[in-house]
Order: sequence, then structure tokens, then C-alpha cells
Amino acid sequence: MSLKVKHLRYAYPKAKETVLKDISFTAPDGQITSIIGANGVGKSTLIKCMLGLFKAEGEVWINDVPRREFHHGELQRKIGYMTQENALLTGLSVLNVVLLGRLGTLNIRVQDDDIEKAMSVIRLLHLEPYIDRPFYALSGGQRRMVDVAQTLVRDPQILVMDEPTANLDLVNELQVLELVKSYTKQKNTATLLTLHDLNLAARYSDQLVLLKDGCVFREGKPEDVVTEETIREAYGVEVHVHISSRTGTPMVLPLEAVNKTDYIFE
Amino acid sequence: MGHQEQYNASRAVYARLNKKNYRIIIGLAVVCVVSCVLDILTAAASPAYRLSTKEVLRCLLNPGAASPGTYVIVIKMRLPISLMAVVVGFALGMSGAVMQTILHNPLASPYTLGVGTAAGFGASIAIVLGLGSIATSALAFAFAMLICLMIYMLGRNNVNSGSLVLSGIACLFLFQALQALLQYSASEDQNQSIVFWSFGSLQRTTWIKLLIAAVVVLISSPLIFTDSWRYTALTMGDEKAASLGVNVSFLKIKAFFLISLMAAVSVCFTGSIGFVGLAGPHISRMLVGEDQRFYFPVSALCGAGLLSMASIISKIIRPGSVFPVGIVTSIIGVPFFFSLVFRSNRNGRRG
Repeated sequence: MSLKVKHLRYAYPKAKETVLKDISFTAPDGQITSIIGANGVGKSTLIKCMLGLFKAEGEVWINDVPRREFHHGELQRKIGYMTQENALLTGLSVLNVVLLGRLGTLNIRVQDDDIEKAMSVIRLLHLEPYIDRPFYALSGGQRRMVDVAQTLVRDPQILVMDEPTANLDLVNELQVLELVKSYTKQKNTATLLTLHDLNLAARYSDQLVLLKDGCVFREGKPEDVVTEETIREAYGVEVHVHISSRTGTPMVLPLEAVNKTDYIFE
Repeated sequence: MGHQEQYNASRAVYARLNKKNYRIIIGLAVVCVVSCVLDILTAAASPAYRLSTKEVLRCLLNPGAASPGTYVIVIKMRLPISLMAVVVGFALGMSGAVMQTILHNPLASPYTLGVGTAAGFGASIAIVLGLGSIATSALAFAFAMLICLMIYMLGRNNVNSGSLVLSGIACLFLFQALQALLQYSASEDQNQSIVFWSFGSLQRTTWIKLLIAAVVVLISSPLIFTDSWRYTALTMGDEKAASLGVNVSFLKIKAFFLISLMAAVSVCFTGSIGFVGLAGPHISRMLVGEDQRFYFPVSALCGAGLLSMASIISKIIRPGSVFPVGIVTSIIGVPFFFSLVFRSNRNGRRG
């Protein structure tokens, strides 16, 4: 199930500037495509536009069919979307939070199928000890893992995750991205991520989409997108980029901002 | 562990988590039924004129065989009033619970958002104009619906749910002022009627009113209940719910319409009964947490039980007369509510 946008354009209501001016790219089957770019460039906005949560101009195609031709419920079952925003601190149990990921099929009396699916994802993410804990009693990282479980529990054919590694420590960061990678390859999903960590993005993505000024600035394989020159242009930072001998992917070492500020405290 | 065993274990885990909640629902339903029967058996009349328990029960089971006097007292007067307490309590508990969920605010209830005050104002207009009791209920209903619409329109363009609650409270003050104005220019007799109406009382109940209220509740609550999982998603925030596939604005409009209907139909027949719509949701959250499949029915049953018990107390507080039930719910309910709130802290919440 590929995910494709053509000439997407979006401005926030009542805002003067257009956040996204002209965005076109394709997230193909069985690959991880990551959107990168500086803060405020519109990564999350782009995702929300693609999913129809914001009404944008332009076209979105799912599996070569325009998105508007799908029913709401059909899209809900096909697409797993994990927001960047943290959920409110509800007192729901972890098991119920995960079950909510299957909202499209949930009955008042929960079917065995839904429980089994939820429990198998919970086991996969080692969340079993917490199933009857209230969500608010978890740490920030644990909540993020529960979010991941909630996203995967519906067996999505398209996986969209906005900053999946936010709040996660080193081991969970790797675990989540490895899991996403395995899921993408085994289920042949089109996976779209936003990541602010360039090293992780370069290591785990098959394709990167670098945004700047509301347009796609560079697009392609990580080693083509993550270069000293493009990063300087897109982020305004001098960096040193080398190809890691261990992972074979570009590693970014930030040096200094192009427009350096002298901070003077009086 | 094999697959089959794992699946069985999963189901067992889930069953264990929900078992207590089912017990609470059954327990509360029993409390409501018992309280309602006791309410029918309780007389406000002074001891000399009271019907015996046996007489009342016999009349309930076989109304045809009862003497005309007993029949009128039990079937025409006590039965609709006792049932109305349960129905109105149920409606207030349910609408309070839904309001708190969609507004993400524990202060929301039909009373605190001014539904009762607006209904009171509508009734006052009818009283001052000298219209009959049907018009009084109709105007009370119209104004209760009107304030719900106002709250909704005011808050619609703002994502912040706090502003919805604030606009409700602002409307409450507006209608209070308008009612004061009306009372200022009303005659003494009219004033007395207005004050009496605004106390909140079940004594005006007739079978027709009961029937209307019951039909509204019987239609509205299943429509709310079937959306339980969507409301549960809403407890994680509007954005999160939208990301899970909930059409948040549609769900809120639907909820607002249904709870306005339930709250309005309750207050237009009984006057303003304050405390039930606020206490029901809070007690429910302490008992079953935020899983809305349990939270809604438990809140509704708490409301029904509370109002039914208040109805009993309103009759025995002073033999020979019936105390307005709205006063009873607040005076007896509030200290009880305080004790609950201060005993349970945040960690007591479950889902």
C-alpha cells in the first residue's frame, strides 16, 4: 500500500504564511520513508494533511487510488497513525489504551480476537507487567511504548509515526525502530516517519524527504540527502558528515550554527 | 507457552480486570430497585393516616383489587413519583458523565453549566404570564435546550474545553440575573410559585410526565452507550481520539444534543436538582475508572440511587409534609461527597 502526495499545499486558518507550499513525494511499499527538516518546517502538519486531519489542497493517493474514494472506516483500519502529541493522562489501564487502537472493530463486549491481538503486541513490546496499570502512572518512555503498541495493534497496512522515538532512552529507541523496520519488511507496509534525530533517520530509513521553506528540498537515499551541504542549507548548521564503518550510513556531527549568536549575560 | 494457552491467558486477564466492574453495576442496580420500592412504601402523611406496608404491596401487585382510596395514593401518586426519582436521577447522572468526558472537565454538570437555572427562568416567565402547568414545563424545556445551544455555539470555535465550561458558567449568571429581574417585578403570589418551582421537587410528577421523561432516557442512553469506546478514546484527548479514527466534532454534537435533551426533560418536570449530575460521575470514576462502558452506566445508576434515596429522606425529615428534594440532595449529599473526594486521591483512579 503505497502513499503518495502530489502538489500538496496548506496554510493554517488565519495564518499569513503558507506552511506547505508544494509537496510531492511517494512512500513506497516495504520501505521506511522519513520526513526530516528543521523545527517548525511542517513535518507533523504534512502528516496530518496526508491523513486528512487537516484539509489541504492537492492530492493524496493510497495504493494508487485517491484518498477521497475510501470510506472513513476503511482508512481507519488500514492506517496506523501515532501522533507526536502526548495523550492526556487518562486513568485508563494500559490494556484498554492498547485496545483503543482497534477502535474500528471494537464492540461494547470486546471480542476475543481484539484481546488476543492486543495481548500479542503487548508481549512483543514487553509491556506485560503494566497491563492493569493506569496510563498516567507510567513514565514518559513507557507511555511512548504503549503508543507504539496502540498503533501496531490494528495490523495497519500503512504505518505513519510522528516522532516515534521522542522520550525514549537508547535501548527503547533502537527497539522501536528495529520493530518498525521488521514490521515494514515482513508486512510490506508503506511506512512514513518523522524523525528529528538525523543519525537514526539515516540509519533506519530507505528514503529521506528533507523539507525546507514549505517544499521538498532533497529526496532520496540517506547518503544522498544527508550531506554537509544540504544540512547546512536546510538547518543552518555546519556539520561534519562521515559514513560510519559500523552501520554503513551517514553520521552527523554538528559543529556550529551558520549564524552564530553570541550570548551575553549581564 | 503455546499459542492457544497464551490466548486463553489473555482472555482470562481481561475477564479478571472487568469482573469487579460488572459486580458494581449489578450491585448498584439492586440498590436502585430496593430504594425505589422503599420510596413507594414511605409515606409523607402523619402516622395516623398512613397506609400499612402490606396494603401498599398488595395494591402494587394487584391494583384492581385495592380500594379506590389506596389505589389513588399508591398508583396515581406514589408510584410515578418514586419512578420519576429513578428516571431523573438516571438522566442527570448520565448527562453529567457525558458532559465531563466531552469537556474534559470535572466541574461540568447540567447544574453547574446553568441548565437548571435556565429552565427555572423559563418556568418563571410562564408563572408570571399566568400560563398553565403544561406551558411552564414547555418553557422550562425550551430554555434548558436554549442554554445548551448557547454553550455549544459559544464554545464551538474554540478548541479549549475550559472556555466551554466558562461560557456555561457565564450563561448561568445571565439567567440568574434575568430571573431576579423577573422576580423583582412579579407579584407576591407569583414570587412564591417561582421560588417553589426552583426548589426542585418530584411532587409535580404525573404519569404523562414520567412517560415522556422515561421515553427520552430510554432512547438517548443507548445511543450514548453504543459510542462508549469512542468516548473512551476521547479521554485521551481530542487529538488522540481523532488520530484513532474518531470523528470528534460529530461525536460531540451528537453527545451535546442527547444530553441536552435528557437534562432539559429532567429539569422541566422537576425543577433544578443540583447535586446529582455532579456527584454521579465522580462516584462512578472512583468505582470503575474511565472505561466509559462502565463509567456511564455506573454514573447513571449512582444518580438514580441518590435521587431515590433523597426522595425517601425528603418524606421522613418532617412527618406530615414533603421537603423539596432538591434541597435534600444538596444538604445531605454535599458532606457525603466531600468525604468521598477527600478520602480518595488521584491514585485511586482506575480504568
